[in-house]
Amino acid sequence: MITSIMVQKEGLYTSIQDTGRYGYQREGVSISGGMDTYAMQMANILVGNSRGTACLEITIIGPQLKFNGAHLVAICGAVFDMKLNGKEERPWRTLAVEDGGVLKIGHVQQGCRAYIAVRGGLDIPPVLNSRSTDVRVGIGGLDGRTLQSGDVIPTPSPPDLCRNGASGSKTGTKQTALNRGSMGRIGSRSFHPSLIFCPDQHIEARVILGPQENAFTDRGLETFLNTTYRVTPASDRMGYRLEGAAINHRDKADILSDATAFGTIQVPQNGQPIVLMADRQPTGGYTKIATVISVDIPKVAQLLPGQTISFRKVTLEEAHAARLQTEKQLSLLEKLTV
Amino acid sequence: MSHQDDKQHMIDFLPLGDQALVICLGATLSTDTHRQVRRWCQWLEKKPLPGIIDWLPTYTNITLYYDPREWTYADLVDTVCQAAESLPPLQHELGKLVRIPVCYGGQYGPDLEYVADNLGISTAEVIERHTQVEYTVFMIGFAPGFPYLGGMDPSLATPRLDNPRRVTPAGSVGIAGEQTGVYPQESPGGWRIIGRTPLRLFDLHRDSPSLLKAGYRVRFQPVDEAQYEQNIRNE
Repeated sequence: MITSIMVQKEGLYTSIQDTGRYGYQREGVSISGGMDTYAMQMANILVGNSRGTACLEITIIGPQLKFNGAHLVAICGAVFDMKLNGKEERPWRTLAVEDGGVLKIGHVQQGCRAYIAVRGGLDIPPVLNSRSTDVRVGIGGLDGRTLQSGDVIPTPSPPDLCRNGASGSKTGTKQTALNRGSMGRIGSRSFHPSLIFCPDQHIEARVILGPQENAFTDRGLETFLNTTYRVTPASDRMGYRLEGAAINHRDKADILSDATAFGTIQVPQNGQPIVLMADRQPTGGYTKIATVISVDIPKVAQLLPGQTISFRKVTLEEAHAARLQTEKQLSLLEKLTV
Repeated sequence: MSHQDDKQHMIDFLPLGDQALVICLGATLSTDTHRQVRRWCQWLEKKPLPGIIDWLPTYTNITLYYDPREWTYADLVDTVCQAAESLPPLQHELGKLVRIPVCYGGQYGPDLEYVADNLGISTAEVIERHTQVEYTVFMIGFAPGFPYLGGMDPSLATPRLDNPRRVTPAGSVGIAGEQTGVYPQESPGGWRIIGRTPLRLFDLHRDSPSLLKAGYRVRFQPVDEAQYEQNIRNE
């Protein structure tokens, strides 16, 4: 049977993303990929996919999807109003969707983005080793664009939707086996609340300073680390434009074009910081004051315009320790849900 | 020339967040710094280190994007330092030369006349000065396949359009201030467009989609409209 997902309503900004298109930045190609890679990986783990499997990234207003064929689905990230066949559902747990099932995702309640993972992933061809959508260039995902109503995304039909696994309640997952006729034994899984990140109105993002921190005055650096900045509406997958106290440069705000990273904060002449996100260009010509540490980037990705952010500097050791802890957790969960 | 490679070049290291390391090869842009950038690119092309998920050369730096599960910052810096001590010399003194055919003026170069008038020279002279130089590709960035070219004759410098065009066709060759370049894709832009190339600077069907890479050399070659159209059919 050919299985697929049909987009009945597209939502505000829905696109196919995996963990990114690596290896081509030096040819000018953006990495793209999921904005909140933690939520994306958790959704994949829940349905037993490898962590970087392509998902649907949904934003503020979700899509309405009809499933052709039985699918095991999980949604992780911000909490959206959500109904499966008319019944309310919550994220951060698996959903067994039967043939013809309709998942109606409405408005976000808290946070900004979520990830819909489907066991087996999405059956669309990768472009330059990735299924992530780069809308600027028009590559990847479904025809290099956001999803539109009428789109049909083929899904591979998994040989089985069963999973065997330990009950693992000690480490935070719980599993009950359900007999579902042709779907066989399905594990229903959800995550312990301690593993779920709750988006908030204000976040503090830890940063590593530099590489051009010397381009700023001492006062400028102080301003950066002691101001609560507001996310402006001109924020998107390329970057979060912030407004607040202006950060002073010693001299120019321009540098010879240089490499950027996910979470890099550049400050142009007007002193208003921009946090570069998934669709950033690989290079940029503005002074870079700091970069958000990798484990805090998902928090930034859950901010809505009007919400606020402040920055705290940390050492590389702290940043790596936090990252390794998260990686250990994800690895452990992965082993339990195979 | 090889003695230049034996010289120990000062390199410096900076973190770019907790997943990237910037190897600084020079404080300012120079032929020597660019040469070192090319040397490091040559080494990195061979994938000498595990846990490096991407890398990117720029005017004066090479940035390595590393997996924190495989590297601490300190260990990666140490490893790169060791590699620096025995970094192989450049295999080819000169980077690959790419000739870019350009149909200058007319419908393909709507701003050629403006550039000529503004400089008080003929359009033929503009074309002459643009094509007689060998350009260096310092880096690719900003957009897929977009080359940052060095070496334009400073006498051709022309300010950008006051009002950028909403659409600049793919392949457009332009001048903006003291820079010259080619738009790989259609995009809005404020460059003065003096011609167009039928070549695809970025093509997904190629193994390496970008036609140009950091370290390549470029020469522009004038072609007439008939040759341009012929080239388009062949692309």
